[in-house]
Amino acid sequence: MGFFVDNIWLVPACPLVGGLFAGFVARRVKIDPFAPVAIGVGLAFLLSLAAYAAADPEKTVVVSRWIEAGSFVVPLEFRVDGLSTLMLSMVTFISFLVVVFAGGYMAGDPGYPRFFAEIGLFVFSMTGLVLSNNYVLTYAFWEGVGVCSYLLIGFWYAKPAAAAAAVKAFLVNRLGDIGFALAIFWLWTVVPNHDLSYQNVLADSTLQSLPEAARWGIPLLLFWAATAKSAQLPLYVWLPDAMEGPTPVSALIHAATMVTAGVYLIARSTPLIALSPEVQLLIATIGCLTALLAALIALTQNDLKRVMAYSTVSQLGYMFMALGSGVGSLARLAIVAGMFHLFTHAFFKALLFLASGSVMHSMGDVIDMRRFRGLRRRMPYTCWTFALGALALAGIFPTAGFWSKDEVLVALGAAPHASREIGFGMGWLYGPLYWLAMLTAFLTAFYTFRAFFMTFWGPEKLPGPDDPEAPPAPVAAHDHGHDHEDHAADAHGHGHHEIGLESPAIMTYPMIVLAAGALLVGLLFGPTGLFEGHLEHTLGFESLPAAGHAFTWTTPIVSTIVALAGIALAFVMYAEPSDLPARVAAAVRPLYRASLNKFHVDEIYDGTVMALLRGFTLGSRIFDVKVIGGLVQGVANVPWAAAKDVLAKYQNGLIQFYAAASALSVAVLLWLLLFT
Amino acid sequence: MATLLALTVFLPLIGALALVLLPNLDKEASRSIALWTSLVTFAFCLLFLVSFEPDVTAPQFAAGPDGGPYGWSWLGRPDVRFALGLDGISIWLFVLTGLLSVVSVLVSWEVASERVALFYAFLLLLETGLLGLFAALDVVLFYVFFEFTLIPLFFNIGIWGGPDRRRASIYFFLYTLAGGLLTLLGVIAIVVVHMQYSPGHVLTFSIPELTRGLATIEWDEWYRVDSWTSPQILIFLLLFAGFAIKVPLFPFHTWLPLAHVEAPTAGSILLAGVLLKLGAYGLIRFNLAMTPLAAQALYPFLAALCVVGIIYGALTALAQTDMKRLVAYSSVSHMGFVVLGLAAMSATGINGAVIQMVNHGLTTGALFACVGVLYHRYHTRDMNVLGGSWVKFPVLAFFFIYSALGSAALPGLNGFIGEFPILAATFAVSPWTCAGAVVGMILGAFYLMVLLWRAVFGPLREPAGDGHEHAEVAPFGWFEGAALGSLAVVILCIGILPEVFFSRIRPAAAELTRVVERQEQAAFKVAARAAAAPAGASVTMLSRDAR
Amino acid sequence: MTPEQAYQTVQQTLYVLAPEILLVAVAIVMMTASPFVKVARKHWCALAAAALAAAVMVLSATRHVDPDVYAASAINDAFSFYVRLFVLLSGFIMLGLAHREPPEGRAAEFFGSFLMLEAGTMLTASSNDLILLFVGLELVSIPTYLWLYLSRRSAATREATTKYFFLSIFASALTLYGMTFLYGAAGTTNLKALGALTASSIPYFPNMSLGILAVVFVMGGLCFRIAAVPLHFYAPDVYQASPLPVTAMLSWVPKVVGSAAMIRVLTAVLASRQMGDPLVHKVVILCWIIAVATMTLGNMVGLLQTDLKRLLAYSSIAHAGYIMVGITAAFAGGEKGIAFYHGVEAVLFYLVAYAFMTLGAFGLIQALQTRDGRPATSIYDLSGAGWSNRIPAFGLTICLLSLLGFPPMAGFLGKFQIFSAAFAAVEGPEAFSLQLLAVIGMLNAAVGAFYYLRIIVLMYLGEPAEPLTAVGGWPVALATATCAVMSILVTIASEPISRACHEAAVASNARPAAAIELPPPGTATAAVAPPAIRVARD
Repeated sequence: MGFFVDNIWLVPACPLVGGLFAGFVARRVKIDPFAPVAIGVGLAFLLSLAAYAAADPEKTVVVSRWIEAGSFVVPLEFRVDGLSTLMLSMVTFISFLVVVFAGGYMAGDPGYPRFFAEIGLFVFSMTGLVLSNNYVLTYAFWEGVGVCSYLLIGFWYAKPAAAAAAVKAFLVNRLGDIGFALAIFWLWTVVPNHDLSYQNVLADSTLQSLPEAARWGIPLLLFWAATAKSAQLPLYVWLPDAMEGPTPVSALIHAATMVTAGVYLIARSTPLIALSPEVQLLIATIGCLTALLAALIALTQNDLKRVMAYSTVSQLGYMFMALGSGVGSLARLAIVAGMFHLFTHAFFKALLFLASGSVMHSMGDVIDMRRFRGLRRRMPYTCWTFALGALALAGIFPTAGFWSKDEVLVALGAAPHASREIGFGMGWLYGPLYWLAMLTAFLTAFYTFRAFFMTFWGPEKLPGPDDPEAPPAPVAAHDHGHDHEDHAADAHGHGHHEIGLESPAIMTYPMIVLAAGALLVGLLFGPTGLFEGHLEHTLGFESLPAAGHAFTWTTPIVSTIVALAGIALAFVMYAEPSDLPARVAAAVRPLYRASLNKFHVDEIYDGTVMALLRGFTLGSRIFDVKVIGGLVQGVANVPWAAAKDVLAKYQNGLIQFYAAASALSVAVLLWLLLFT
Repeated sequence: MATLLALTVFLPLIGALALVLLPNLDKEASRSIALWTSLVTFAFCLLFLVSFEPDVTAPQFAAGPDGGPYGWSWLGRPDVRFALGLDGISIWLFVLTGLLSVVSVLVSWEVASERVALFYAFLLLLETGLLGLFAALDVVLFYVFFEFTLIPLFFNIGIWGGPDRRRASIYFFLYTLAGGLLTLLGVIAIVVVHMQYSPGHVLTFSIPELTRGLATIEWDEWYRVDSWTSPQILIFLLLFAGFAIKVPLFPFHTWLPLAHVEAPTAGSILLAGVLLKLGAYGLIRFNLAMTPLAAQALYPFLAALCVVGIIYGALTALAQTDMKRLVAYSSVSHMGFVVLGLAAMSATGINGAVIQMVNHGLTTGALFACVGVLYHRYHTRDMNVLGGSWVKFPVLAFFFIYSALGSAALPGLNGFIGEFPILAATFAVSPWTCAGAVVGMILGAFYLMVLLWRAVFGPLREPAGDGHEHAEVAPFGWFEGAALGSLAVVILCIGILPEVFFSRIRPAAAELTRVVERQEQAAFKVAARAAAAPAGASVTMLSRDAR
Repeated sequence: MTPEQAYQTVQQTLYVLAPEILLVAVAIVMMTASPFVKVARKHWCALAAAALAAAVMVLSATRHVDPDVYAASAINDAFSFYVRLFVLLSGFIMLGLAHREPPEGRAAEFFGSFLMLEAGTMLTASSNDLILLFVGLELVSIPTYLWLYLSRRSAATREATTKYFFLSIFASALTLYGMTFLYGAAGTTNLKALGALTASSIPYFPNMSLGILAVVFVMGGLCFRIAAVPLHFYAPDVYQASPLPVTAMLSWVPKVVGSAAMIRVLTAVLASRQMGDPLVHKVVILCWIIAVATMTLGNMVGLLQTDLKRLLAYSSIAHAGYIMVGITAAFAGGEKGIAFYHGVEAVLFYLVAYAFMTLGAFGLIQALQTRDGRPATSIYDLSGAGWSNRIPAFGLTICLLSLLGFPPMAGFLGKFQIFSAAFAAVEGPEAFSLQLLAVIGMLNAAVGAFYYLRIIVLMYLGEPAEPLTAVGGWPVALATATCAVMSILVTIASEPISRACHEAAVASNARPAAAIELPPPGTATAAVAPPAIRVARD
């Protein structure tokens, strides 16, 4: 065990090597690029298990020097404690399953080796992110996952929508990253020895010595960073668009792993965040609003993957709600709740995405739920694993989601009381948040099962070219290419097989494993205290207050009722094709339109931030040419104009004038020197 | 080694002379002469890199044959010397020049069609100028090389440039010359001040001696920087004029986009990759090392120029549809970071700035090379008509994305290694400045992403007509791959093994901060003597991180 | 002074002036003989060249003749030697350029007057007496009229000659008038004695206004020679209308005459007092104004020109401005400036550089002829010449870059020295005005760069105009090649020239045992005898 922990760098290294091999070598030596990555990630998972068992709050591994620019020193150092090993195991496990799934899903795609190379890089970055023991190193991998996500979203590079989504993802993430960067610079300036390792930054002595502004400023900046990576208000907009990437990517990056990086960062920095209850309240509030907004949008989406995407945004909101409720004595409970939800969510959301992918695969890349129906007989594995995932997402006993969501709600419910204990005046706001979270739980159950019923229930229907919802025939035009859905340029190679078949085993087995996870991990880790016990091996956690909380029946019962109500409503409306949804939609038409159009958030961004930016760019371009260029030209013209209009006039060719002018000048000089 | 260093500097010149003087050189022969000359020069550069001793702060390879410490007597005066040497700051720029020269010869392998021999001769001439500049240890020699670089580039742009090449070359030449002349006055002023006020009235033109000496001159006025007319500030501004234009700092940048757009690819690579560094390098050698108190006092002014430049350059880059112009404006933005790091005047900032200079040379060079690959094939750089090159040139797409990510400061590639220390050092001096610069970071990612989005991603778009059929577009050549590949390797090296670079830069940067400290101490003494005035008022001290 | 001493002085003076005497003698022979013998133009030219060569030898032979500086009217210090040597050497270049210029029938007069103006230039540099100096100046002026008149004549050249003639006489009168004030104030025409007097602590001018009158008039007259404001007006008109070899001569010889005279009669006389002296202070102001006005006018109006000769005329005015910067520094720095570049040293070096670059430029333009046998007159005639006439265009480029002040050409080092001299001339608060002068000078150089660059741009980047042919034969080729090569070599291997300039500058300022001290106040109230000038050998 000791060997594996001391060489924990092997965990990121295995997928990296696998990825590089897949990308640059595999094709030349006639090896399926899938194999090295699967092996690398699998090895990483096994190593993670070893690390999981040996988690120690103080254990750090310094691998080598990295940056030493003056006093900006960043060694390559890793931390093997409860939180990192937990994340590590989860990430590698899910990744392994997704890689296996992708082996089937991506078969036949021209970018097959590139896909696995990028996945390998992604797993490398993500494992590095959770292992690193230094804010700068974390940032480095944080950006790394962002880039992998960019590359994977833009995987089908010739597809304009994918390219646009990739750019959007990168930029929104960058917007968040600068918050992280600023936090790092600030920390670097104020912490002793400019040492940004976690044990130095999160040490009590350091935290006590932070200047007043840094005590709330740095947490705020860190949370800003988290909102982008973990898709919270106001920076969640990139995540739904990220569904343009291949479905395994959606499952891996945009559901299970990368998007949890923000949650991880906040959890990791809890001792720092806890310095400022105001920021914690802000975190909870943002989380809650995000959860609610995303759930509302998910209600009306017709694209199966988009429903899942918004659901992810919503569930991430739950996690932040939990982290934000860690005021005062609740700190440890809140982290456990948040991380537990992260943990379980990874399983069932990955499952749901894979199942969606399986549907999409089977439907020949059609993902609009209006174009197929009643697939439960054709695709039994997909249907029932999806159902398990949906139950978990809805939080039905005894699936994983039930346990974790309950913990979140419990923490939230206890927060007003804990706030009063530490004299935090605004703590009452946690009360409304609790009820909004409950409402969100209802919506979650409803939209999840709406998707389930629309896809798998009712009379069977397969997509055909004459559907009213089918996209218009591709326009063969070169100009403004990115404005059109140019399917001609779609490089996705599969879809040649007959549609409507159950996916092959290489795809269903991962789903089955995940379904087992979705069913069991909650039960295994939650009530048994295993999860909380493991997290206690985390840096700084022993100093966090761990108030025992009385178990109450209220929250589980209410939430279960709410969830069941949601499922029931979904059944009534969507189990059989009817005009009921249309009538309901007509009844609340403005609301329906708003939800369907995602509350126009993209348009609002476009009309404000982007318009402002466009104005600025245009302005600066004009300014550059007219004002600055004009100034330079103007200065350059001064001598010319002066010469032309003044000086040259005296060169008139008249000798009398020359003599007179010379004499006069001499006289003036003489006068000047004699009498002044 | 000193002789070898001089030989290395003049090796490209010999190659250039051979190209000009040998009769009837055809394209093949010219380019192989050029390639071999630049390769051998680069090998020599590497030799110096290998024999460079990291912990020695004094200039190395500098001893002259006449036993004196610095080079040969020159210009008919014993105190003006042809003195060459390299320290931890210049060695990297020296090597970078060698590398980029090879790259620029490679990228123009098939491009130059007329007067090929002359084309390469000018490239090699430029290399000599640049190598000489980075190795110069004498202010006059420095200046001679500083200005001399204009000539080859002037002809490079003027003869082989785009349609507006005449205007571009004149604009470039005159603008930078105008600043350079003021810098010359600053250089003279420094020598004069040193001669008039140093103990013993030493007349020296040696950069190391001036740097040391100016911290100990016996002239109280020199250490007072509380008004715009104090001598140190005036000299700073004189020196600054030429360097700021060369960098170029906002608002002295307008020559750059014009020159870049019109320049042939090889010219652009050397212009952005090395020539802009002359400005920053001059700022280090002169403004920082010789007039540090003024640099500190003018920090708000400098920082404002940098931050405005960073943001403004990025915004303007965003508004461009010409790829090359976009990259050109990105240089304005990136060089703002470099100067910002220098202005922080801490070891961290200087380390970051020096490595960032190299970074910018590599990534921008690579980006220009990528744009050049497309331009050579389609004769347009307009992103409205050209795009989706991934479909046709996957290898190019790889390098394009790779370089753009390096430029966007992706950790693991080179940009990050420079930008982070710079920004951290800036934050320590002035958090709001740092915040402004960070806005530039996001905008920087923005224009690079837009560039990739339009040029690499999306369905293939090729300009219609223009006398060539799409099918005949030349494939990605080995020479282009070699050029971009070598850049990519170095980009990665800096990203993951920055210690190789920092271990050599650190001592030099530390030495620089010591010089600054000496002037500060002298200033404190002066301030203490002038007891009538409040002690802190005469010297603007900035809070700074530990050195 | 005993008769023996007087005799010895006269003898030595004649030795010193032997090269000039030789040149003038040959010139007289040529001019007298020409009506009687029929000799081809090229032989007259060869004879003139031989005379120059002989003069060089005589000059070297008399190198160590050293007459009493306070008695002799000629001086043979380093300044005198090096300036004369260089003038003679540049004479070969001018001969090379002008060897075909005069019509066959007038060749003897033409080359004879050339020898005379060479002799005049040398006389100015070696004179140690106001009278001799003026003679030297006139010995340049009068043959110049001849030159202007003797070469191919047209209405334009006649107008140019007239303009030059009248304005030159006007300038000579100014100089002479100023000299009378000098003499009137000090009572001696010996320049070293004048310098010794001014360096002493006795009040040497009964009234400072007299000194100012003297300086302004002398300076005014000499401004004409170097084509500085306010007597620059003739330059563009005369340059444009004259044939190119004559213009080349006009751009170089009067400059060196004027500068040498300024150094001999003004800076060397006054400079030892430095800025603390009210007169020197005023003189510095005067020079400052002239320098700024000249540079600015030359460079700015130069921007407008498209006629090559007119353009180079304004360039010549601009360079006169730079020389005036050096003169200003020489005044302000006095002997102290020796520590760095001295003003005089810088001016001398600049003149050397200027000789090569301006003669080279004129010579190359002269060598490039259009198809119809007309020399290139407009800058547009040179369009594309960089490709059609590679070697001449390359040489012209070098000369233009040197004029522009571009490293590593000679002009750069010249400007470097001039502005260094201005910067280092004074310490303390008064330094600012000189530094400002340097800044203005640099900005001017930046402005002026445009019109030189424009020619280069046209030659290499312009649309090819009708092709030019290089004419002139080997003398022109050799002369211009020398100029172009030297324009680079002067910087790269500047050791000999720099040393010569330095020695000349030191020598020009030397005041051999010049201390005429008042006894300390209080020790001797008795009437001090009229100051006896202690004479000592250097």
